[in-house]
Amino acid sequence: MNLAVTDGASKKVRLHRGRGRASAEWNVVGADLEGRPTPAEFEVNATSLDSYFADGNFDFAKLDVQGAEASVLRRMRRLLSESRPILAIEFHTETGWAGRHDLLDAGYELRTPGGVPIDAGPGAQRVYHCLARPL
Amino acid sequence: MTTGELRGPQTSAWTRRLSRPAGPVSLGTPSLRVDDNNAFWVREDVLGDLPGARVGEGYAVSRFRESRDESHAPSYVRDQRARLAIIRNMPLWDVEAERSVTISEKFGALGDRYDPRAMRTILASLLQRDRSYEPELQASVSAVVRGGWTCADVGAHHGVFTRLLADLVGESGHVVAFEAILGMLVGCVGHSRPAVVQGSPS
Repeated sequence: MNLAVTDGASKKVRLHRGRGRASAEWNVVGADLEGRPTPAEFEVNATSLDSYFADGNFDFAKLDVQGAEASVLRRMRRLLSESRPILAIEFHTETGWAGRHDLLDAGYELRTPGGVPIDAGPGAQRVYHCLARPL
Repeated sequence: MTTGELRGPQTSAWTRRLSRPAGPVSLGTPSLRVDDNNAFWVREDVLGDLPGARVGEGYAVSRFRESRDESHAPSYVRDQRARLAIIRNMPLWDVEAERSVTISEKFGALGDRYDPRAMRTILASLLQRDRSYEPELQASVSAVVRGGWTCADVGAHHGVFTRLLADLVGESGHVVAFEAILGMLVGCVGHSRPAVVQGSPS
């Protein structure tokens, strides 16, 4: 079964190319990584983490969702507040980077993979690789 | 999701069908051509001096990233055994028996080549290659994740982190990998650790 993880608002999502014709980096945001719109190529089933793990939880997650970070984080608020998993996140775009506010609101701190604290407040510059831990 | 339909004849079956009653000669798949991966058939009466090829000869394994999964999404799988693993349970139309069969039913011998030992060899080469991918992030993940944990790999792509997480959590842990393009994750099939492969985003 193939599943796209998004905000769970729709049962199906369309996948778009993220980086040119030969790219293996498909996304659900409808644009390439430079923000240029790309056509939808095919449709897959979608879920959110809160609904997929409705009866469970996890300790750790790696998120590499090609710009859909904010959508995925928005619909894992229950997990963030109840399971308190540690997350490793790739923030691919500025839109995705906006999703860090859900982490801050849930009492998380962001660090680089090397452990250096990241200023993630309003207007903060995007950091590609982040480790998010509950405080 | 509805099961996708892949269309494409097996070259030998097509040749036998074309060859009835007095059919064309297969020239096979031209392995030296890199601009396409087509097979050509030429009628014997116009073959002239062109070398022909018998059924079973002249085929070349595709070197292109054109593999598709069951939803017709690109899987980017190149390895022949991994390709077979993806399609082995898909329905095939047997043009000679005129009935629907599966790859593993029809080509049991081919299916057998996809054995656990072969898979371990593939996995070993994948793990070797994995180490060079985002090493700093891998190091920090390795420092954080403990045995027995449940982990989610959301946007697992080729499964580099799925395999790393599966090794870190060990036999008592769980890894759920999400990947919208499931063919990407074929390298996680048969992994000795509990990697539950479900599909994901991108």
